[in-house]
Amino acid sequence: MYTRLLTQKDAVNKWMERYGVRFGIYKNGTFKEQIFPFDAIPRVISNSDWTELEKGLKQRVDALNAFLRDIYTEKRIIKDGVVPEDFVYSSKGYLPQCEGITPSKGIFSHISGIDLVQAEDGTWYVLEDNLRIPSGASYPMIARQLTRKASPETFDGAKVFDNRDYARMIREMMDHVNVDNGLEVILTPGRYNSAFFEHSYLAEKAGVVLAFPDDLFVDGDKVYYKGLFNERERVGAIYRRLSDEYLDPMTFERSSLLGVPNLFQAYAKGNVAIVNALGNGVADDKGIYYFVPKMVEYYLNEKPILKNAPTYLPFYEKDRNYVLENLHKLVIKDVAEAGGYGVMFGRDMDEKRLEEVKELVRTQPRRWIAQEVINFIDLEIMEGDERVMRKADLRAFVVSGKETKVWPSGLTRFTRDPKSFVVNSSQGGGFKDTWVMAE
Amino acid sequence: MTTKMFLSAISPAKADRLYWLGRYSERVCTVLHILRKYYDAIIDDEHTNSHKVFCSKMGIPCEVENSREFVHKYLYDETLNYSVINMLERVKDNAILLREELKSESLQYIELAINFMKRAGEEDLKLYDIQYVTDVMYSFWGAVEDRIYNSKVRDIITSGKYIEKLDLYIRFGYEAERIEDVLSRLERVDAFEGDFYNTTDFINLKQRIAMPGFSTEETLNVVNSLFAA
Repeated sequence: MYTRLLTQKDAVNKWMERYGVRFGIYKNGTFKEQIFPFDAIPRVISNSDWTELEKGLKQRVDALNAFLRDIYTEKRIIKDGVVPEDFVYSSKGYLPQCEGITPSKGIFSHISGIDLVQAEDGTWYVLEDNLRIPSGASYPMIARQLTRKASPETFDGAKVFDNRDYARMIREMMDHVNVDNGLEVILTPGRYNSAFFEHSYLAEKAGVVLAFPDDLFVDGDKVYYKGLFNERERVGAIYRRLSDEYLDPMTFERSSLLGVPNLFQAYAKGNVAIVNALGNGVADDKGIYYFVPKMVEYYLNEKPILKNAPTYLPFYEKDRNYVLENLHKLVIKDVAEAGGYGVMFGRDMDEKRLEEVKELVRTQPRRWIAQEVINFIDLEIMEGDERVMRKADLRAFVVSGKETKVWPSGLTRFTRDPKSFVVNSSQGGGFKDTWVMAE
Repeated sequence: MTTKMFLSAISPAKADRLYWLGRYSERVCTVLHILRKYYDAIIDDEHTNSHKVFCSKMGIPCEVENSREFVHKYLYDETLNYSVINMLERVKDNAILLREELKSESLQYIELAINFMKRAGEEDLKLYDIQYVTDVMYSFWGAVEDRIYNSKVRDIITSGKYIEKLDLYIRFGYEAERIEDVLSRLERVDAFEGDFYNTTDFINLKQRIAMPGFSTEETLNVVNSLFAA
């Protein structure tokens, strides 16, 4: 199916270099841009597999959006004892400032990045929900454009869903939540953000303005784009690519030079849509993850289609005892960390380290979750001219606007280290295009 | 789908990036062109001081005695803020922040130029080998004309281009007709009207160019203050 493409892999990589497909990384305090290693062998997802995944992803994101609406207003799920309040209010992602605020059209997670792995028996497991600023969609998007350029015959008759309309999906969603038909912008913290390529590429492809913090200002609780001759243009939707804490120095981190002063007030008054909404971190907290299947049942009255990886919360005594007894075969994650950091495999720890971690679990049970290690499938990658097998995950993107839609593709990340399960680009991983078959 | 973006204002920071993108891109093209002329003199006489004349006109220090060594450093030395590789870095610094306006198809030429220049430095390629950089920079200018749909954006880049051309032509003593031609092109740029430029300085510049001995520091100062915005 893609054999011809493999003969063109050098040509594809040259195109990638030429298009500046990079990501940034800080090493020893220095910013470096590097090529995101691309593997030409696509991940192929059959149509039947996808149909089921698509249903499950929509369901999961709809439930997560319902959870966010509830948490910042009625809190029914806490009152009904489904999610313990401690998990909500002690989450770093919970923002008390957002209490009572319902964003434009009631959508909190407009762009959700759901990380999945497929076990050897074919079952898909959700590893993580990313509801704040999930990144990575631009890479398979441009990879498809460039692979089609370098090897058009590969796609001749191949019944693969075209994934190049992701930017259109984003634009439609922004149009839907836009307040007062204002300007639509992608707000980037700047070139030295690790995902700056994505910010600029999505702005280009979605046909929206790439705005830097100094380009925006708030006056009378409305957001404006600053013109060269003091003219101003009302902003209706901001796809922000900076974290909640840096978004508005008047409300959050006071030392932030990246934010737009008083942006939060404009948002709270409903004068601008912010994509994704503020405070979403409470729902993609690693501790809250445990409760997502329960949310599906609670809000949608449906059986969850997608499974979580078997997860234990040391917060609960029964789970804590299991974790302490079985730590050597579990993976343990610090709920406050992301990007592959704070992940420890029990099997890699010596006795002394196991005891240290057990002590941490005993003394700070809320800080950790533990999961069974899923033996997820390896995918083929090219290493030089040789095909080798490596661990890979899939980040699926779900866009919630007028409807909830799943992008028929995704970012497949793989580890280049044969011994590693950690696929994050910040840890040296590469990426593949994801082909979803149309039939 | 993109009408809203076309109507949008251009922020001061964006205008600044567009302007300097135009200036640095033109600097790469014109400087390489002029440098080739000076290099031509070195072919006949390796001990010529032509590189010192070049440095003096550019207003940059001349710290090496040997012309060939100068050309190598001027092209490739990343530690010299006035080297051609650094001019290209400045082009990229501005362009990379403007992808949504320039489009990836235009940006690729800058990537090609800078990647080639880096490899050329490692392989110590000679000046005539880097004609490729000139070729792709002209492709970039073609893409600017063709791919940028927002005329205000295009005009600010083009204004930067002509102002840089004026600066270099005056520095290197080009004849008045050539400079007047650039001035008239600048005048025809739509954005180069009203608030975008300093009208008084523009009239002053035209009068200066009409006088003998116009290649002075004062004339250059006027050129560099033209883009009032």
